[in-house]
Amino acid sequence: MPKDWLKKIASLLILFHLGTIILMPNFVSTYGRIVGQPFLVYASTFGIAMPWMFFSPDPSVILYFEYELEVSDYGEPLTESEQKTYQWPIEPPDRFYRLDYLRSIYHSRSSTSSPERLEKLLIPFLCKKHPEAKRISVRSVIKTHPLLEQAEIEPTSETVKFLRTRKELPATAFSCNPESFQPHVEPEDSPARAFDLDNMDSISEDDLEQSAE
Amino acid sequence: MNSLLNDAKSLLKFWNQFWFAPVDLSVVSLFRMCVCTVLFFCYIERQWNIETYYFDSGYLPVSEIEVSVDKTYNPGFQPYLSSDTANFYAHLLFLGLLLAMAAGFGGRKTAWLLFILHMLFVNRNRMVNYGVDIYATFWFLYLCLIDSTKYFRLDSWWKKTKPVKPFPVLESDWVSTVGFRLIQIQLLVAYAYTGMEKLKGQTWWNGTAVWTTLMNPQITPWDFSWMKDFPLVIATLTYVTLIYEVYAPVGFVWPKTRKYFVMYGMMFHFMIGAMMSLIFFAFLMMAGLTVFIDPVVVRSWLTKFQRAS
Repeated sequence: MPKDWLKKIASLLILFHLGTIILMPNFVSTYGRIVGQPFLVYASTFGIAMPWMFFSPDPSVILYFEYELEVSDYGEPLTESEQKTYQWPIEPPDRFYRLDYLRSIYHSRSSTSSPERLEKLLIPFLCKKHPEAKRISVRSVIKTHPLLEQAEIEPTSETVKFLRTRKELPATAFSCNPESFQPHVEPEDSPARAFDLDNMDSISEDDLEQSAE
Repeated sequence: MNSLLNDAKSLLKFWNQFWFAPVDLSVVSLFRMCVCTVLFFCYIERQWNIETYYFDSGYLPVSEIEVSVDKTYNPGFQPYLSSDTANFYAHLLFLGLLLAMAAGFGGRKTAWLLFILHMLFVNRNRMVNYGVDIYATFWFLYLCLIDSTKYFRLDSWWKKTKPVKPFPVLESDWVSTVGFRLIQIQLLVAYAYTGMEKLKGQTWWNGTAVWTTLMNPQITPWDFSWMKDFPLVIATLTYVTLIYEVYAPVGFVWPKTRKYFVMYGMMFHFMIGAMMSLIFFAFLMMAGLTVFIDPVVVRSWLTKFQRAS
């Protein structure tokens, strides 16, 4: 057992740490707003400010990005790479070991959580992947899961995947000019769209072009 | 008034006993061995893809790190290595230290080094961090406090060691006890919050959350659409998950239910790992649960571990 004075100091530190790990996951609460700042500085320095939101509030939908490249000048024939639609993150060939795929999913979601991040983080990365590209046109694709009630009445399990609904946001083109990654306006003036992943309802139906898979 | 004073004294006595009285180090040594082994194999992949994750030519150039961090919620000091070469060799060193810790070499100083190196990578690119990295941060931090290399050491395989006493030996210093208790509490806080966050979700309420998880090919590599014929199984799995997480603080603290929560937790995480290919996350969670195993059981394993030599 430590000496009494040491015990008192240790107890205070323990209480502060307990306060941090209990308060941080609910930092937006009234407690967090009023007394949270010192806890936040400590927690973010030690990397322990965590919301603990695994598969919550609901398991996420399928979200990925499709993009096309613009390589040739106007009027020139399209190159092979221009005729393809690419996907990010790329689905891994290995079915079981896919740690790098998990990390690329986190990267794709985190790098598109605001228009600024989309322009400064994802687009330069895609431009680096395709050094021949002058511009990249990106659209976000969401696939919702089939409802269990609907799936139950399907005759076979093979047809269940056709119940998924594909939704996509309009594509936005970005210049790959390293001097400026400003979004190219296409087809009419509209800001680059990014997902608020914590609030998927923020994407209005008008934004979505919906089609069956 | 006297009764209140007595209650306060009892509470203070309990507090001191809980946080500062010696505990059996065999349990926390098992925790250290399991956690560091899982993380070593997990982070080999990170070394393999280090150019993508942490080099200037990869996902996140140093010049854009500020964009990737929301400073409103991250006001603290967050150092990182900006040089590609430094990141490469620091990660190699990190792997080496992890292997040493897994084998039982090193101690608190090694744990501190591991924690600092880990934070350098966490801060270098937050966009690629996932569940394993989050838990690793906590476990490294708490291992910094603990004398965790007393048992389950690789050198006990070839060195002559004293026979293992079959009963718990209360031998830790008080700082180790604090670290050990923090691991236990951290796990319970994480479970409780994870469960409560799920309670906000519609699919967790209506019993279809497991279905929507299993139908996501970004989460699971297998096709589980055949489970449409077993809606009650899906609902049961959903609600059992909720109950396990929300009631973890009670289930793990109450001695009568503790071993059942540990056993169910091991099975639960193993199933998640197998069904969703979250292999390392599953094993790391299972490693975390070792802090709730009865020291008598751990000592029986320790006897076998040392006899294996």
